[in-house]
Amino acid sequence: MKSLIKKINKKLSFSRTSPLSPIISNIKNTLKNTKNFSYNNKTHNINKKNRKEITKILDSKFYMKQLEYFIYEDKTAKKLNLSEDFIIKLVYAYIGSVIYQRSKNYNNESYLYMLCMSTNNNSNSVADKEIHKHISSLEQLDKDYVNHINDFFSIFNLVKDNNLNHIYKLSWLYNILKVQQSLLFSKKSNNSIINIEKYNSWSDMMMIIINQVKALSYQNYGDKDKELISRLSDLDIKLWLKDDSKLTLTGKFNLGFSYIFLATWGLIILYPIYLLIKSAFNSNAKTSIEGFGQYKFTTSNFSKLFSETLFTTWLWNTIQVALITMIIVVSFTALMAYAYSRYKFTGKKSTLITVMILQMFPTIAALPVFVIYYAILKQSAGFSPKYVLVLIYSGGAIFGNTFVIKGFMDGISKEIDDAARIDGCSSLKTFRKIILPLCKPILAVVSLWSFIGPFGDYILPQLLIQETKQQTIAAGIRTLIAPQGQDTSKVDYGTFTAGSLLISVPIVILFLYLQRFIRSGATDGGVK
Amino acid sequence: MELTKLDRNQISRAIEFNKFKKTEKISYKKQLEVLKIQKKSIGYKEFIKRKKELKLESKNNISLTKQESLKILKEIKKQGYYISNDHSIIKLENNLSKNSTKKTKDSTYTFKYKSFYWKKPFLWFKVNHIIYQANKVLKYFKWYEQNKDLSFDYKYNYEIAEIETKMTQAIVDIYDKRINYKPYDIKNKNNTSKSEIKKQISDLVTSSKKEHKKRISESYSQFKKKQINFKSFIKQWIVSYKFYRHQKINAKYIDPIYSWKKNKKYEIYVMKKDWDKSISERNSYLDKIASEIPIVRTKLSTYFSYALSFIPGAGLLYNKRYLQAFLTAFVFFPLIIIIILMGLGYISYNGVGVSGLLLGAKTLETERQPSYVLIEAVINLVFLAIGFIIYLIIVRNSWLTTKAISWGCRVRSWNTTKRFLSSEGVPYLISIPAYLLTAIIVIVPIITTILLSFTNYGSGHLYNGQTIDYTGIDNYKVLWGSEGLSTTIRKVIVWTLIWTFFSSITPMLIGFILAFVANNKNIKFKPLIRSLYILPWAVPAFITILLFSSAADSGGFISRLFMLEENQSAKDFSNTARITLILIQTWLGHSYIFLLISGTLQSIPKDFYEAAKIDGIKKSSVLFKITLPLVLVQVMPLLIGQFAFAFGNFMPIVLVTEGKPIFDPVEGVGSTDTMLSVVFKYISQSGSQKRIGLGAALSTTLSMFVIIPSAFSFIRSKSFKEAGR
Repeated sequence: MKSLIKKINKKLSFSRTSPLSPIISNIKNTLKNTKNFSYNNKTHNINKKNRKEITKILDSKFYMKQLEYFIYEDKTAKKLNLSEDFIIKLVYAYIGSVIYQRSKNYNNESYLYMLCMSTNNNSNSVADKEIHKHISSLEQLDKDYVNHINDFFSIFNLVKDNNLNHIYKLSWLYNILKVQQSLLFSKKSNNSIINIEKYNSWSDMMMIIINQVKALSYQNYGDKDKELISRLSDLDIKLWLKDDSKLTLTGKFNLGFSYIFLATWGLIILYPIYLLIKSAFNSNAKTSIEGFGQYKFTTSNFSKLFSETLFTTWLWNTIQVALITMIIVVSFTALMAYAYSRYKFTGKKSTLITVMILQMFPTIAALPVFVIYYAILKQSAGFSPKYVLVLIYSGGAIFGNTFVIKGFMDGISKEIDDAARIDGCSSLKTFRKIILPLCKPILAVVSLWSFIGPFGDYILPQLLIQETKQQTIAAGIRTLIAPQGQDTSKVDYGTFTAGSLLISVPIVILFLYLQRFIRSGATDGGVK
Repeated sequence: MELTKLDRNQISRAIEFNKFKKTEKISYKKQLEVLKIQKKSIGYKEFIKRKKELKLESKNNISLTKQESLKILKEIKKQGYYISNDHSIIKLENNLSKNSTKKTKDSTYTFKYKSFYWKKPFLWFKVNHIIYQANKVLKYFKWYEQNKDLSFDYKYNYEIAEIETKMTQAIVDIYDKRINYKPYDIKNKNNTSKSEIKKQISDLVTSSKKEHKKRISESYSQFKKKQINFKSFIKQWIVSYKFYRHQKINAKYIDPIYSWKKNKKYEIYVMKKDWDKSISERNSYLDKIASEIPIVRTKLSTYFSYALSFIPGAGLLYNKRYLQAFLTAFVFFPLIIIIILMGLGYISYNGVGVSGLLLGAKTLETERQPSYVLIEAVINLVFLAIGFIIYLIIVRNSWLTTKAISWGCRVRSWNTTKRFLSSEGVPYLISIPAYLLTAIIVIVPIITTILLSFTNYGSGHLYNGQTIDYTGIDNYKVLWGSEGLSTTIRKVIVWTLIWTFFSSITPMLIGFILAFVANNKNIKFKPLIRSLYILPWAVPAFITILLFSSAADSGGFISRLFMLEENQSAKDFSNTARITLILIQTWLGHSYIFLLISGTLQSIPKDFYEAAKIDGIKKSSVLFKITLPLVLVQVMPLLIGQFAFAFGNFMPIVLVTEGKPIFDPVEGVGSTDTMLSVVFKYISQSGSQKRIGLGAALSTTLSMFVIIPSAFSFIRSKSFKEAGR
């Protein structure tokens, strides 16, 4: 639809100087020179305001193109050979109707001026009477409009050819109504029912007129004069196709304000991240993140990170832990969720409630027990601390995530399962071939959580693991700014920020990539 | 039919009695049911009266003919006659009468056993098992055929034998086919040498490659002349490449050995499928027969098997479920024994079994740290519970089988268990490993912390040669009594409540406002805004917390925000430290709320807003009467969860302030310490500050605060109610 409107607008804006422009400049000159005018034996003044109102319409391309067509391009108009006087009067009448629609005031001075300039007192021809008949049929709809259109119609008595005159008059009437309709809809009203009623009344009027035009043109020319009718029923207006009304001034102000608010909050979010990036490339950031002294660009922080610290071993440890926990958590929870969402079995509700409530026990209370677990597993089975961490992370995450995935799985209709069973899938095959692919988004979210968890956890590895070589990244990186023995000379924020930048960049990219899934996982899954 | 010494009338009376006994019972039961329906209208006393009358009546009806007809029945049996299930009298042949007959073998019907085939031992075992089963019935096929009306067992065996004659031969045939399968000898027929074949193949490949290149060059030249566009050029390239690849694969089939191998593979696959199909067909037939014909058993033997079911394996063995009996006797029963031995302390790393729960002097028995004893004891306790559950399942299984047999069900055991495991047993199988993991990681620590809260575990009770003792509720007295710690604890509680409230409310408010502003229709760049606002959540929390911690030091931007002097830091004063903590948590936590609410806002159907517009409702009332209630209903439980999270969230406190500034130097408790960070201090600190028992007491009481409200909200929640369905 938008493209269609663009096309129409292009058609209208043919590039040539308008033949109307000398007439319009003429009208402007007369407007400049007149200060008073008399109408119905009364003298009226013209303000600056009135002049502005009139010139605004005279300058607008939209109205002038309409006029241009109906005066110069229209077939009937060409046959009529309109005189310049008549054209000037037509322009006056047209603008007057526009002004009337805008102000809806009979005593508006600019309107009266236009009326004064356009009207002709000799109005007694046969065709004129006929037209009045048609107009009187419209009177039931809206008296005000009909009266004021009546006022303008006296101009057409200047034309002598009756039949042509008649068609031309009606088409003008129709054109004026159309402009007024467009004006009506450019004004906003929240109440759409009233809008629809008004629209209906207008279109009724226009339909009556266009039928008249059709009948008359058929009588006179047969089938030939179709262009006029098609032109009449065309829409030359920019349509406002949205359901909502256009923004008001306060609406625009609010929109601007909300943009400013969002932008400032974005700056608040970005400032610490900016500091992080800045100090990662700053050679002077030793004791503080903001760095005292001048900013000096270096990449030495990164090279120091890889050469002097155990960053790579920490990272490798964490990746191992994260990957194994992710695999365990996702596989276990997906299976559990399948069992809880698709089967009835004894102890379904009771196990859920006991484990969910037990998991609300703060994990910190279990820390000493985990320490002893680690000791037992290390001394008896030679477990490295990584795998103890894996056990703890995955064991703690299973039931909560099961509930999340179960919530998502309940949304998948069970008819799909039945169809698969009819086709001969066993229950595990339906899980593998049908449920798992459908659960991809939530599985992505769960795997993301369980993967990121070990990267962000600082407390457990710091408590469990004493050797710095076995440390995961969070606890390891902390030693760069809080070294053992509170040795302040070893504090180096530059390498710390460099390391944390290296960790956070891939995680942030993962987040942004899986954003859609995360949002749906936050709302669809979970306890409701 | 000839019966000596007996009148025909007497015989017919005996038969009638036999009928009557059954019909009378049925009619009695029917009348009882009618009575039960009338129970309410009649009243209880009247009901019992009538019931007694009914019983007497039915008893009398039977006893009228009882003594006489029993005599006759005995006489009939003596003379070698038998009353069948259809209440007709059948003459047993002399050599087949119950006491004196022997089954005669009918060797023509039996199958031969297959000799051991070492390449496929499992297949060999299976086919011999089937032959064994078939032979068992087919040996006496004629005998069963003659006597199929005598009892259900004979009938069952007869019908099975009938099926086996049809099915087993087919299975054996397929087995023979599989064993003796030899594809035709390719080497004799293959006259062309290997090198020739190789040459042929390479020729075909090279020629097709040339064609492929030619096609590409043609289409490329067309593309250069702009006769075709880039898309169609790539399309042509792909088509020709596919053609080339197809020809490359086909060329291999010129080699007769290759095609022979492929064909062999296919034939073997088809035979395998046939085998599976025939076996499943046989099983389904046998199942059908088993379900149609009931089994009869004396009352005494059912009681006996009920009693046997308490001994793992024995009950199943008595009911002829051999595989299940084997599994329970040699897999599950030893497991239970191992668990019991562990519980008694015979198998352990450094504990003393469940008796370690007693603590005190028990903790001295090993050479290791005393806490090991307690935790091993708890683990053993959990294992014992698991073992008890396994035992219960075993007992239940054999109990149910005897019950089924007493009802007359003749179930083919292994097939039904297989079917159970693939349909209703799936949830159990699936979730066993997860349950075990959660039992060890979640339940054991909770039990131990609750136990530890009643002990003096801490400094002085840590290492070898030291003991842990039960001290009753001393820890709780220290915390909640009127002396010592309790005053500082009260201060900590106040700050904890403030912390939980503000660190959850402020991010919520900001997230709400941001979501409502950003989800306005007229605002553009929504994806950009969303991905910007997700950042605080995406960057690992400990990094940003440490960043802010550095910023709160003297000279940092947070300290400057509070208009402090250059030497002062925001961590030095209790008020500023607290406010910085809340600000940090706001920064961290608001993006989750933002995401949550913007997600729910998008899920609200637009029809509501259109309806509101047609009714001419103000914008403000649309917000307060449509949007907010709809969002809150969906999000409320998650927001309540946020409060619980904020209560347990002590990472910013540990990383930023470490509880400073300290107001209680004796205990080392500061004004920004929440309850959980205090617990963390008790657990993680070294030296005399380490009081794990006290920490455990604190955390158990704390968890009551968290668990009770969140458990209530969880039980009320919609998804939990749906879980039971």
